[in-house]
Amino acid sequence: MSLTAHSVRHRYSPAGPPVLDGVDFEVETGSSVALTGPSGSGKSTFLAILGGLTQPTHGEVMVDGQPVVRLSSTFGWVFQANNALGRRTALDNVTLPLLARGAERRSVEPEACHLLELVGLGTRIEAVARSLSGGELQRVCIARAMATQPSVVLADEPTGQLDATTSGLVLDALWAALPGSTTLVVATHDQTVASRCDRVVQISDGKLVE
Amino acid sequence: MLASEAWRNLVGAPTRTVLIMSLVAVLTGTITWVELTATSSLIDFQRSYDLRGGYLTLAYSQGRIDAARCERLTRNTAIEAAGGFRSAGTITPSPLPASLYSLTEITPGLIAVDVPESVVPTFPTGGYLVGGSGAKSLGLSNQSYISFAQLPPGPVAVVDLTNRAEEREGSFMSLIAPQGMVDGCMVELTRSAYPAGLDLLSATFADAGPDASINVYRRPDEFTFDPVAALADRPQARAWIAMAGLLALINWLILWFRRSDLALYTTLGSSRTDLAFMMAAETILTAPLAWIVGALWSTAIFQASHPEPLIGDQLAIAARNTGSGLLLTLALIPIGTLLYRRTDLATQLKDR
Repeated sequence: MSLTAHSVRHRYSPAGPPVLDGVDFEVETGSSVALTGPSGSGKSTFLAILGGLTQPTHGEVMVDGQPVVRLSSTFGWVFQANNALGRRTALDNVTLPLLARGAERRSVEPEACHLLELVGLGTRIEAVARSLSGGELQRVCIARAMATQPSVVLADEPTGQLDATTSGLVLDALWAALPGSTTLVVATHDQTVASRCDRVVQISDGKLVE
Repeated sequence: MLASEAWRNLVGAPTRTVLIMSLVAVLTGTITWVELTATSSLIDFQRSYDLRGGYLTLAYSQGRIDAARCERLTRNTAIEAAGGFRSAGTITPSPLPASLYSLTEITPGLIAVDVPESVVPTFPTGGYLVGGSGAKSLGLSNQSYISFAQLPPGPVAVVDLTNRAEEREGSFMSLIAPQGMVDGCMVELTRSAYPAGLDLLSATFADAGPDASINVYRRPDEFTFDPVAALADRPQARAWIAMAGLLALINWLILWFRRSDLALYTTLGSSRTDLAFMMAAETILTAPLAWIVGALWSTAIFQASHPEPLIGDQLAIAARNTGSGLLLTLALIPIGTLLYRRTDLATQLKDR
C-alpha cells in the first residue's frame, strides 16, 4: 500500500509562518522511513497530516491513490505521549481499536494477549496502564497499533521520553511486532531509531530533504 | 461493546464515578426535600381551605329554591355535596322559657356539607341537630333530650358548625324530606371542576326568581392564596430543568477533562455517535441508581423529621420533578457529546 503526500502546506494560524511549505512525500509498501529534524520542525505535524489527525491547510494525502479524508483502519498509531487509557488494563488498551470496529471482546482477547507477549509484556496483561513504566506503556501502545493489522504504522517519537536501554527494548518490540508488509513512518530526532529505518528524510524550513 | 466499555470506564475511575453519582443523589435529594416541604405546607393549607369551606357556594332565594333539585346536584361529578335549608322561625327550649332559638329545617344532604371529613352524626330520629354554641348555652351534649314549647321533645346531636355554617351555630335544625321549596341550597363544589360547578348552579337555579343569588360562601380575600395555584406556581416546579442543565454542564466539563481519552477513542476508530452512546451508557448505568438513592434518602429523612405521614401525591410530585430532570439529563448528555466541538485531534491527544 503506497502512501503519498502532494504539496502539503500547513500553518497553525493564517498570519503565522508555514510549518510545512509544499511537502511532497512517497513511501513504498513495506518500507520504513524516518522523519527527522530539530524540535519544532514539523515532524509530528506532518505525521498527523499523513494519518488524518490534522487537516492540512493545503495539499492532500493519498493511500493507494485515494485521499485520506477521515480516520481509517489503514493506520496504526504509536504516540510520543504514551497515549493510553490510564485507568484501564494493558489488555483493555490493546483490544480497544478492535472493539471500536465492532469486534467481540472475547474473540479478540487471544490476539491481543499474543501481541502483548510479542512486545514482552506477557506477564503484565492485566496491569492497569498507569501502573506501568514509560517503556512498558509504550510497548502497550505498539501492541495496540498492531492490533488492527494496519497497512501503515505511524510512530511519533516512540522513544522520545525513554532512556537508552528502554528505547532499545521499545524499538526491538516495534520491529518484532511489525509484519514485513507493513509500512512504517516514524518521526524522531533519535539517530538510533533513524538508523533502523530503510530511509531517512529530514524536515527543514518546512521542506523535505532526502 | 460500547456499553461494556462504559462499564469498564466507570469501574476504572471509581472516584469520578462516585463523585458524579453523589452529585446526582444530592441534587435529587435536595429537590425532593424542597418539594416535600412545599407540598406538606400546601396540603396542610389545602385541608384547612377545604375544611373552612373554600369550595362552598350558596344559592339563595327565599322560599323559591327547589329542595329536590338541590339534592339531585350531587349526581353531577362537579358537586361534592349539596343540601337545602329554610328558616322555620323561632323556638323556646323548655329549660330556658324566656329564650328564643332559631329553628332551621334542613334536607339530609346538608349534613355532609356542614360536617365534612368527620363522622357525620346519625340524625336522631325525631330529634334535632344543634350547633356547638347553642348546645353550650343549654348545657346539651350528644343524645341529650330537649323539649320545646312549640315542638315535640327529642334527642339532640351536637355538631361543630364553626367552619362551614357559623351562622347556624346557635340554631336548632330539624330534618325534612327533600321536597318542596327551601330558602337556600348550600353546595360544595368539586375542587377540580370548580368553574363547571358554578356554571351548573347558575343553570340549575336560573328560574329561582329575580332575587336569586349564587355566591361563594367565603369572601375571595378571606384566604391569602389559592393552594392549587400556589402548587402550580411554586418556584421549584422547574427545578428539573436546572437539575438537567447543571448535570449537562458538568458532563460538558467531564468531556473537556476527558478530551484526550475521547480523542484516543476517535483515533482508534470510534465515531462521534459511538462516543455519544458510550457517554449515554455511562450515565444510564449510574444516574438512575443515584436518583433512587437520593430520593429514598431524602424521603426517609424528611419522614423521620415530620410527624405527618407523606401521601402518594407528594411523593409523585417530587418523583416527577426529579425524574423529569433525570430523563432530560439522559437526553442531553449524548446530544452534548455529539455537539462537543473538537479541536485538532493531534492537539487533543497531547492534552493529557
